[in-house]
Amino acid sequence: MGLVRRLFTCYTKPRRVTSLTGKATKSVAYAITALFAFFALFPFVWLVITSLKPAMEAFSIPPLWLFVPTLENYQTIMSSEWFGGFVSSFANSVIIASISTVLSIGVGILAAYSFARFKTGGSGLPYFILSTRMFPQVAVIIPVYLLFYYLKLVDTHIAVGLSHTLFNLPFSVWMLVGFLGSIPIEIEEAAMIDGCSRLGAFRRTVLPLAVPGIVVTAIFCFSFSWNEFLYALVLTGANTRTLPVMAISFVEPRGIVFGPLSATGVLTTLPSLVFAYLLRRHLVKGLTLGAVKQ
Amino acid sequence: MKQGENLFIGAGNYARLVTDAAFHESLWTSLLYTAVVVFIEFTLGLLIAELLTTQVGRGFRNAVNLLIIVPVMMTPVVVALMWKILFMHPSFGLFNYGLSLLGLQGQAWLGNYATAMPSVILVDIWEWSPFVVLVLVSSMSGLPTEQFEASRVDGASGWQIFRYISLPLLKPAILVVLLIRIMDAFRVFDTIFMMTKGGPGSSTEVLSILIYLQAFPFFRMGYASAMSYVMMFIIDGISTALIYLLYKTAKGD
Repeated sequence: MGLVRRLFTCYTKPRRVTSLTGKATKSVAYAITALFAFFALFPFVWLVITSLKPAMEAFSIPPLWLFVPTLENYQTIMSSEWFGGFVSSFANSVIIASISTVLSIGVGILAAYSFARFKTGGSGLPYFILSTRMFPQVAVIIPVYLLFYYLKLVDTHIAVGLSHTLFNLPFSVWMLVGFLGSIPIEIEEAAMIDGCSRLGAFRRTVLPLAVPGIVVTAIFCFSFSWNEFLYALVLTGANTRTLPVMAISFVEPRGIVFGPLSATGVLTTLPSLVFAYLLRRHLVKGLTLGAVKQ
Repeated sequence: MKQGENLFIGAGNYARLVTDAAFHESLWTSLLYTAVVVFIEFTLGLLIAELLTTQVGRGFRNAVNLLIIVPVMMTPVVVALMWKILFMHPSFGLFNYGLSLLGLQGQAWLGNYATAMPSVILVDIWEWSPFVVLVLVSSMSGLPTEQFEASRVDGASGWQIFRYISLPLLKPAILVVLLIRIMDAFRVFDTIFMMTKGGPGSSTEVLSILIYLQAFPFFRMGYASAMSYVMMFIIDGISTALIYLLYKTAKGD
């Protein structure tokens, strides 16, 4: 009976009705998701627009909708005496993020290799390492600060780079274990039969194959360090101020700084957006520490 | 720091925590913030992800997926500045301009007891619900299609398919999302510090801010450390519970 009815309803084409309601649902779905995308994107677009307004009009209310775009705000922040000095902060950010990335990858790849091939520490140790990525940074900021204070390293690039390695190294180990684990072990075994030592086999066979994974992990590490604020706030001084710390000078603005503030915001966040675009295929994996694959 | 004045006070700092009203209030603020933010982000994110996976075209989905990366990867400090200055500024912000168009009185969004907390919550939702969407979309599109086709043939409604097929299959991804969001929301620092520094009063003073303020301007390192430990234990408890659930699901229940 059911079958007959199904055949019958097929024959009388009820599909038109369902496809009509389907169409209505679909347009609602398009509208909602488009609205969400607009909500997610508009503030950044507004930041970019404000950064391109002439300095005197950047903060005008009602907002200026039509104007001739200008780069004068970018020129203002490039002149080094502006606030904390954009150019030197940019340089500090690059140095610190590089230190942290190199350390995290250099140490992380060896640890990851050991986890992937020898199951070092059973299943407990990798999870312990992961937990160090997860705990609240403010909870360790005091010992970290005191450590560098007694070592007289506060306000040095190396101190901030090392502190960023605290969260980047566990991340890098965790990501690289996933990448190294997918490289077949037979290749190394073949290399070792041909006379390579364990480390030689690692260097000659595993490392070249792991390059894509290493690049992805490195870009993530660089981004995380680039965006980090708390360690940088506590450990940097006049010589090492990173971009996020420098941005504090804008917190209580006078009207005139709206343009430079927006320009600083755009340039601070631009590298990590470019990286995100490069990483888009691995983004979910990186942001969930390898737990969800794309 | 003054050297040579370090006294061993045993559990003194912890004893103080038990009776410290500021700590209790801050703990409550953190828990409230975490609960509200994660609940809204997760509900909104799940809805959008479901719509993106089942209702819209592939090209549109990919475009939305690409655009909503922006809030997730933006520098948090810039996120905070952008909202605070361009949108919530009492005299030059877009929010008050919008209200004035409607003939309404503007607000000092981050300066009022009533609006400061909702404002920082809004910013968190803006920043992180796209993350929920990204993760859920990518795990939804990886689901096997057989069960969906079978249930459709059997005449299941869209809601039934979502409730009895998608959700159970998505459970691991959902737990991961909740785990990460709960931990990150509970330890939030950058955005709130930039926007309100915990104020006005202590209305947005989450634990991270309280600990930071105790440790750095006041140099009460011992007391701040004690609070840090309590914070770690709480987060450890929550995450262990979630990881246990995740592990149980991964084994297949």
